[in-house]
Amino acid sequence: MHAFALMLADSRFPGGGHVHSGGLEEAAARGLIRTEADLPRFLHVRLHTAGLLSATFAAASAHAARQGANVWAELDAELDARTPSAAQRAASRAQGRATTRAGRAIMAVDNSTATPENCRGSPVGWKTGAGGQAAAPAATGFDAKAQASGQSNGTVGGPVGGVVGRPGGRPSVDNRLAAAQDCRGSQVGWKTGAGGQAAAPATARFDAKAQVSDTVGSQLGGAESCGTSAFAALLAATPQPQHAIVLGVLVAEVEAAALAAAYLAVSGPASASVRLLGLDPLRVNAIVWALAPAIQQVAAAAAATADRNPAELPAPGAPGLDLLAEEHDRHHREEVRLFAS
Amino acid sequence: MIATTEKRCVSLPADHDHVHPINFDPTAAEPDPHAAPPVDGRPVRIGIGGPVGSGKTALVAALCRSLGAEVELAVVTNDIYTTEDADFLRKAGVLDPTRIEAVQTGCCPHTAIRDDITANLDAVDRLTERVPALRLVIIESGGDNLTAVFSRGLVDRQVFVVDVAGGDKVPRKGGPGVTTADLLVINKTDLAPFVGADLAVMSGDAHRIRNGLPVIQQSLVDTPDAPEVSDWVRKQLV
Repeated sequence: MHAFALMLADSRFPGGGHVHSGGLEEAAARGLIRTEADLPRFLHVRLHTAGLLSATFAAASAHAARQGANVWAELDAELDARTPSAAQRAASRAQGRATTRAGRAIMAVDNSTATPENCRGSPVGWKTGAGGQAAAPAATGFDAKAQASGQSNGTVGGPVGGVVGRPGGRPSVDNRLAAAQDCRGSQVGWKTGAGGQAAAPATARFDAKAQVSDTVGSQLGGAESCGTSAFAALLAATPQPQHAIVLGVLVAEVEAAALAAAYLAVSGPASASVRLLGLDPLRVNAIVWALAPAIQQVAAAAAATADRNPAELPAPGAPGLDLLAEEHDRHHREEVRLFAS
Repeated sequence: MIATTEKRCVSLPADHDHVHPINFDPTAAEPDPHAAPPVDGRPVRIGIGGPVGSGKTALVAALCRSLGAEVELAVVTNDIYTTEDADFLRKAGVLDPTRIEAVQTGCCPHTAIRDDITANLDAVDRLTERVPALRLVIIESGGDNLTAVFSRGLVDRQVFVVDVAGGDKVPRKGGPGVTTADLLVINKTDLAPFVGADLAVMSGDAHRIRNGLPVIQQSLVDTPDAPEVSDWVRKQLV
């Protein structure tokens, strides 16, 4: 397993995870979880719903990071659209913000952390990996991206209301281009990938891109690596990324990112149960351990869809968990809760 | 605060006059060797830690009263019941409620101030965005044990508060809070006669174990505005 994924999945990772219970606090407050015997059901459901969703987007983000595909705004909007609970969206962004802070510190300390080997450097990149239908948005670069974004707004705008357009506004296209180009490592690659119809705009922006590329590179210590540039591109597109997406970018390996995200979906609530209910940590650990095959299945399923167009990623959900998250948020305003989610 | 202290060297005769960068004597207490990070125009962050019931929140309220008119300040509270301290401060009327942030610590107050400071950094960010002119953010930890100290990634200076009623052995027990905090406050001195605590012993132990770092004894009953601690805080803002 990828070492970055291990570090991100470690409860010692300073990403603010310890204040999130993933709905367990509300479930406990309602008497739905009292003992170790109640825990497996909860964790099982969470793994196969919220966990699968998180793993799916972590894997897709890792894939995009490796390919230098600038689909961050789309991934962000699509993940929002698949998270109907506002409280869960807020929790995801809170953890995303913390992971981003940690990511910045990582880049500042060692800008070679994300080594070039993260970058597959395939000249046609996304096109090859994604197959015909997905080739369009990535291969045609940011013009297609803008279209895809509009399309995704249209698709998901109904259920999630105003959240799709958010946060932090749109970055400059040049910035995004720059970072993506760093990752491909080859101008030819970009050109080839762009294909005929988009070749003109993409080529036209090459000069501006090259200049911005220097700027971005120097801000990050001159690193030309894939992970670094994908991280910069992610933040340029979505200054407050969601947890699964920034996790995927930092890990930059599809299977490992999916595995870390799937594991975190159950390790957080499990740890919260130990602290909140005083459950036996050894028995709780054994319960999580027994989930290992399921965690791996979920991660494998997530990895299998990593190369899809963001709009076509699966959308697993658990209305029960959504309601627990909303109730937790509401109760927190009335009385008090110890966890942020 | 970087302090280079004279170290007892056990391997050489007493006539040597050099100092050692590290002391391997486990009984020796030393000031925290970390320099505060550069402030870069951001508000100075001062942590207030200490055991449950030692008077942290009352001290924060006193500081708000005495400094609130002269310094743009805000408070982050980490009480385990999240809003308890914030409510106390709001009811005390010492600070505009928009300048108080309560954080949830997931049952781990020491984690939130030391190992994973995310929730507190987020709270500081929210306050700074809301009140851009802030010069001081006071971060009050949840009541914890003698080993709970603030991360230097979270605060520039830290105050550790112990109280007379907790027993006059507390300073002697040491622990990172007592030995390395930039300021040790021995609180509730007015209670000493009632609990049989010897203030001279507490003070002597504290000064000895802290190796010259400042110690202030106070009673908020006698001096409700905590003048000595307020003066110390003012010096940290310069």
